Parts: sequence; structure tokens; C-alpha cells
Amino acid sequence: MSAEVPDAVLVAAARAGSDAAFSRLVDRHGPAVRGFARRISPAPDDADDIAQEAFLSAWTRLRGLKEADRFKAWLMAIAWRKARERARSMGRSRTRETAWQGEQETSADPASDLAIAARRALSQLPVEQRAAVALCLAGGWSHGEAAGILNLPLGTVKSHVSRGRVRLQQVLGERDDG
Amino acid sequence: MTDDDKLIEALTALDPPRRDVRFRAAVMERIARRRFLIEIGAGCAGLALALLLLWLSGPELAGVLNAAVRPLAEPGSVLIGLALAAFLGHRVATRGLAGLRLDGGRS
Repeated sequence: MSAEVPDAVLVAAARAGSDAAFSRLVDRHGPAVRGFARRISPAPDDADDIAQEAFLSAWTRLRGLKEADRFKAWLMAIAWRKARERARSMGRSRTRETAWQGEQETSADPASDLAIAARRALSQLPVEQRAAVALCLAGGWSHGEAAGILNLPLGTVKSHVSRGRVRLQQVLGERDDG
Repeated sequence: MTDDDKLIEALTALDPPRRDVRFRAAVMERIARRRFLIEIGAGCAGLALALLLLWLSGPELAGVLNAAVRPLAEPGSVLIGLALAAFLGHRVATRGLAGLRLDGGRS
């Protein structure tokens, strides 16, 4: 079994023009970025587009990355900015429409049912709280790392995670009770 | 199962598959398109710069070209004149001889 090539090596190769190296970075970090986008985006269809835009933006600005070994955190920060830009550019009508669509989502599959419940619960949180919860509880990032990614003070992130956890447990608990 | 476990289970239900070739292909396709646009843009910018430089240096360039061509042009025009005269002279001479010959044949 071959040892995993460090991100810094792949970043250096991608900077030199290797598409294969960048493609490996997409394979490696795609699930994390897509998962994050799915948790923070109100529209499930938008999440993959946000993730793709984040990778595209990373490829364009790869030469500007100072610490190549922090590629993943840098990428998540780009995804966060892309999600915010998209949320701003989406009109209120679109948000309402999406919320309505979310309410209509149903599934016979218990795993999908859980995903729908999670999406509905997350939609109850303010977007920064949602992002902090997504990073720290689902993504396994530390509060400090999440603060760097979201460009928020550490205390704010801690508070978002704590409040978000309580709120989500309430909403998901109501689902279990109902 | 604690409340935290349930919460994490619900959040991770939104995770995409660990390996998704279609996602990678979509990203790489967008990158190829972006690269193409960047190359086209760079080519257009280079061409525009070359044209601008040519336009700005037009009068000076014309002077330089004229100065460079003139010494070549004067001996050249003499040579061309001589060649033209020789060619025309040859044509007249051969036609004249042919005419004489034809005339001689008839007479």
C-alpha cells in the first residue's frame, strides 16, 4: 500500500500545471467541501455547484496560497465565501421557494429521511451558526480552525457551536417525539 | 446513543459519497474551460499589445524601413531596368527576325 502524498506536494505539482495532481486534490477534499456546502446551503441543488466553484476558484488562485499544507482549510474558506456570495445573490423569492421545497421533501428511505430532517433542522439556524456547527460537529474541525475558515472571532464560533447544538437537538428531538 | 451521537448521525446523513467520479469530472471540465478562456484572453491581449505598439511606432518604423530599403532600392531599380530592357529588346529582336524570316519565306 502506497503512502498518501501530502497536500503540499500535490499543490506544488498542480501549480506547475499538473491536472492529475489537482484532480487528486479534488478526490481527496471533494467530500468534505461538498458535505460542508450541503449543510450550509438552503438549496441542496446549489451545494455541489458551490463546491465546484470553490475548487475552480482554488485552481485559479493556487499561486496565492502561502501555506500549501493548509490547502484544505483554505479551500473550506473559499467554499464559505462562495456560499455567502450565492446566498446574497439569491433573491428572497428564491429563498422562500427553496424553503417551501424543503417542506415538501419526503422519502421512504430512512437514511434520506434523516438527511431531510437534518436539512430542515439546519435551516432553523442563522447561516453563521449553521456553518460553525457544520465545521465543528460534522467536519471535525477545532473551534480555532473554524474561526479561521469563517473569519470570525474564536468566542463567536464557540458560542455559535454551543447554541447551534442545543437548537438542533431540540428540533431533531421534536422529530423523534413526533 | 447520546444526544450528541444522534446529532452527528443526522448531520453526517448529508455527506456525499466518499468517491464520486462525476463530481471530479465536472470540476476538471470547468477548469479546462477556464484555462481555455485564460489562454484566449492572453492571446487577445498579446495581439492587442502588438498592434498598439505597431500603431504607436508607425511613423518611426516607416522611416526606418524607408532608410533600410532605399540603398537596396536604387541599385535594385537599375538592375530591374536593365533586365526589363534586355527582355524587351530580346522580344523585339526575336519577333523582328521571325518576321524577316516569314517575309523571306513568302517572297
